[in-house]
Amino acid sequence: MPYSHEETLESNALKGLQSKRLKETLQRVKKTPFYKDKIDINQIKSIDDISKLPFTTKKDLRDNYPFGLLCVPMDEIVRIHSSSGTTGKPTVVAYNEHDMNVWAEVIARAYTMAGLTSKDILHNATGYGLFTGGLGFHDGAELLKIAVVPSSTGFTSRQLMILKDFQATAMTGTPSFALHLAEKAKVEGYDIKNDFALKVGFFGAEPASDGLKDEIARIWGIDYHEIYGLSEIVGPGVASSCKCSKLLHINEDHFYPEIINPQTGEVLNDGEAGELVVTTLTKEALPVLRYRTGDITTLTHKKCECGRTTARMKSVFGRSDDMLVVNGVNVFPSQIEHVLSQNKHITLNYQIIAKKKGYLDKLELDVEMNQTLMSDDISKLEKIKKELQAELLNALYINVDIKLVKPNTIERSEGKAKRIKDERMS
Amino acid sequence: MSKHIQQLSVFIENKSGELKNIINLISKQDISIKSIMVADSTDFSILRIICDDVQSASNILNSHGASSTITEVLGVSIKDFTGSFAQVVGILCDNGFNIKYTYTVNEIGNGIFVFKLEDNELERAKEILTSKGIEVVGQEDL
Repeated sequence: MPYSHEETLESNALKGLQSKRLKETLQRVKKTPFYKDKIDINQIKSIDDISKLPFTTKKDLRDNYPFGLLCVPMDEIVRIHSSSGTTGKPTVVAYNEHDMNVWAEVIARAYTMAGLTSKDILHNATGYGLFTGGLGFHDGAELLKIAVVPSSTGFTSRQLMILKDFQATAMTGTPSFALHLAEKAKVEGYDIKNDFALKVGFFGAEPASDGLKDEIARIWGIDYHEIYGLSEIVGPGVASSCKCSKLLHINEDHFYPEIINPQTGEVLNDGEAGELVVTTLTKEALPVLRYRTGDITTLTHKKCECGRTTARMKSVFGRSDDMLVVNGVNVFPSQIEHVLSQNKHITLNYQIIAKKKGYLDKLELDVEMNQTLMSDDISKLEKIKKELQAELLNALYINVDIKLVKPNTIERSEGKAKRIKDERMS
Repeated sequence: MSKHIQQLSVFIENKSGELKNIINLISKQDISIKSIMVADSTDFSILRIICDDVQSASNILNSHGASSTITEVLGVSIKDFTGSFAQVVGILCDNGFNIKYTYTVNEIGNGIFVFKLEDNELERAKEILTSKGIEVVGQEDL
């Protein structure tokens, strides 16, 4: 039984609901300085007119940092989260009580799709803090009265111990962490099939091939479910997979999806690959119209055997920009460039290399030695490396390995150093 | 007044072949290497070279894409008796000098203790050692 009745509406009823909610959202945003001059409410008679609305981008959120796009007074706000920005400032999102209820509801739908009930124990190995992941998975579980273990990320040995001792039946995390955890379990002498009680896993925040997902399911002996989301829309919970396939049901009564050609903005048909654009239909504090996610996927409206009528998307398989995902954390090369440009020792002759270290991702930053940096003092050079590492950690939430390399050794392309090399194979 | 010993410091990646390439470049220029030192490291280290023509060495390396710098180090003539090193180190420490690193130039019959001190400390060190009868040598003595 789906958690919400809106998951099984027949198509006219769904369209009617979406049209009503779109108009309510437009009433909400029409007064904001940002959207005021960009939308003509009279042009929008139904959800089918949505392509007449302008797109919203991450740059728009950055230009209105931190609270310029808020539609309600701060008094009503009950939560503020932030996620990766493209420069020095993060992307900020905020929620009122109603938004928090929507968020918890869509997560509860995801857990229900996988068959979780109040009898289950959820080991939440997704990061708690400013990112929306940890708390998003947490709050939704409370709606179903699932016992939540807020283990967050890190401290893998301790996580294995409590995973066994508390006998959690479900877990969340990134796919790479699931593999890392399994490998660590083997090394520490656990019997994966018998020591743990896991039946279900909810994974996301980074791309994973079908083969990888099947591998994780096999190693842990669990059903693999994916939860997709992004903070700008709500957090995790925009879409999730049911038991029928690896496709994800989009909660389109709350988040209306379109696929566009990222170069032209033209709306594409089901089955055509393009950039996912999402419009929030029920959010009150920070509604966004036709938000460009940057994620590449396809949509389908074909019937699903589970009975849910919501549109489904493929697991995201690309980006329309140069964003990297490193252990579930979004990293924009421009963020790294911003940190480097503020550092007086480093020239812009650098290269970011994304690598695998076991099952986890690792970022390495190669920086060319130059005459300004050159010194007879090794401890001074090591100190510069450490400071740069700390600056990057502060900006990206990721520990980057800094490597000094010989001058003129980073490959250039038309005079410009090739900034990013992704050596990982998915 | 003779200049202090000019030490060439070269950035060297911890990769196979790096040391060989640098040495070959210098040797092909007919520059005589008097001493060489490089310590173990993780991804990089600093190779320190004392030679008879530090400017040419620097030029040839830089023109081949190396990163280098020249710094002054204190050279002390080795007297061949047990305790000669201890004597010099003792004087330097007792007079508040911070020895950052040390190595030697070895030659039959004589040689040079090399000390890296803090910047601007070389003259004071030379005065004190000379006053105690210990010979300080410079680049021209190589």
